[in-house]
Amino acid sequence: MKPADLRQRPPFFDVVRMLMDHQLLDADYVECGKVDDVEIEITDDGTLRATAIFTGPGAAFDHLPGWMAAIAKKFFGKRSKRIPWPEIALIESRIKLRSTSEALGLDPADRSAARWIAKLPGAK
Amino acid sequence: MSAFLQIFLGILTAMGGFVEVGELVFSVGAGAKFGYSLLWVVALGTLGIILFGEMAGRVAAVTKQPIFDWVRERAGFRMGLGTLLAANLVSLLTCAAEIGGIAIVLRMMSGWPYRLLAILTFLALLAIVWFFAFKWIERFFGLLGLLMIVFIIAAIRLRPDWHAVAGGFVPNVPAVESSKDYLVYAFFAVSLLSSIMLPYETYFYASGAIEDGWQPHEVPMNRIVVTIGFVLGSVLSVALVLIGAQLLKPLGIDPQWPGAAALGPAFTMGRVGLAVALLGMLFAFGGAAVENALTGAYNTAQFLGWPWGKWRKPAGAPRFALTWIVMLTLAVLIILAGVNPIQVVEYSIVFSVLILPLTYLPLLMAAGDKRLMGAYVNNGPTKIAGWFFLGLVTLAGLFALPLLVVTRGGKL
Repeated sequence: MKPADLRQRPPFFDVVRMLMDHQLLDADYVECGKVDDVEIEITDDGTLRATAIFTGPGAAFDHLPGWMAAIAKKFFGKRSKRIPWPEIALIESRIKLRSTSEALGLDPADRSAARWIAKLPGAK
Repeated sequence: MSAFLQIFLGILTAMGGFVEVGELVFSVGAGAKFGYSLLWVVALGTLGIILFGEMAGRVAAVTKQPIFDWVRERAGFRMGLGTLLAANLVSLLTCAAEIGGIAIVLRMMSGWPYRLLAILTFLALLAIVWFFAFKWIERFFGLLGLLMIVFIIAAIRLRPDWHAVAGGFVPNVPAVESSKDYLVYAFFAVSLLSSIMLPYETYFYASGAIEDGWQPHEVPMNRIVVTIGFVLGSVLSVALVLIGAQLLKPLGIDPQWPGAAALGPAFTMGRVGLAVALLGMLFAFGGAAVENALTGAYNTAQFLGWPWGKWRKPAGAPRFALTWIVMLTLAVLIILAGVNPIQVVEYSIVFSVLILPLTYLPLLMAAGDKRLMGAYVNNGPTKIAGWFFLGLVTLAGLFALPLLVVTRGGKL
């Protein structure tokens, strides 16, 4: 389903069921995180509109109880990335983005780990 | 590859990978303590694992989504994280137990120090998972694990009373001396059920189906492979119970070490039997260690949305590779710290049954979702059986921990 179709389908779009915690795929169909949060805005006519999604440990940890979130952020960082709505190409069970994860600045840890691991024999 | 060969290999792999150290210890122990009377639990557990194994493979083939994708979508981050941590803890403990089991068997064969053998085992497993492709790992351990068939031959040669064996498949409570023994019987029943229905088997099976690129049209093949492979695997469990009942029970041996099972083949087939049994155990435990390490990495990567899969080279899925390396490393550290592997087995089996409902519920819901599964949705009988087993493992889960404590791990 394309985002444009969603907008033409009033009155409801179940954000929690169709977006939250779903897998993100980048332009090359490589996994690049989960939808950890959704940004919603109230338009002038009072309707709600999803404007962006968030991915990254920082956004995910916000779903934990306060003290746990604080500990988790201390250990694993509070990095999270805002992905504007037009970047979404397709919403199915997995959510496809228009750009590569590198272009979006997602998963920097994966790329630095890959550089390190690639030096080992048999890693490539 | 022809479909026939593919099915044949699949069945052999499922059978060879069926028994691991926990199941071995509890099957032989169940026979040594209660004769044939716990065989019905083996049959029940086998039905359960066939049911949920088939479901895991079918959901993966149709939706291309593995289990922890489901757990995350259905339970959310907060609840799902609890399931992830519990599942990975159990896989870690199981992996540690297998490495310990391998070191014990190697020590029996070589007389070398146990800790040195644990480190060598770790290095060998690390190299195998790093360099080998998924299919070859699966086949290497699955096919060499078939050496375990020697236990079936030994069980037949011990000439069990087949009439009494058949009677053991009917649920029963044996006549025992004291009420304490009933608790021990219940502990063995719960542990045996858990050791056969270990949750990692479904996680690994679903991830493996995606690794192998299964398509919906392969669902019928999946059904044949799971059913025949697991039934044959459970024949092995039955053989272990019989060896415990025929050989160890009359001698009053309470098998606390995996090596006790090898007495069966040694007694009936001499040195050759013993050697084949020990080799079979090595590969069966090795396969389970690798599967548990990979399961920890699959679960984590799928839950957090990382690139995963053995079909990618380590540099293509770096955090996935690091996670299974960490799993293997932590597992060997547990063994090097001097923890008795059999105690680790007991804890891993009991914690497994605690998380079984958390694993099977999302699976059952996904497999029963018509919008998602289309023509491959659970049919009526599968649905009823699924909910029955979910109730059963929930009940087993409620009693597992109290029984472990009260019976001191079945040693009352």
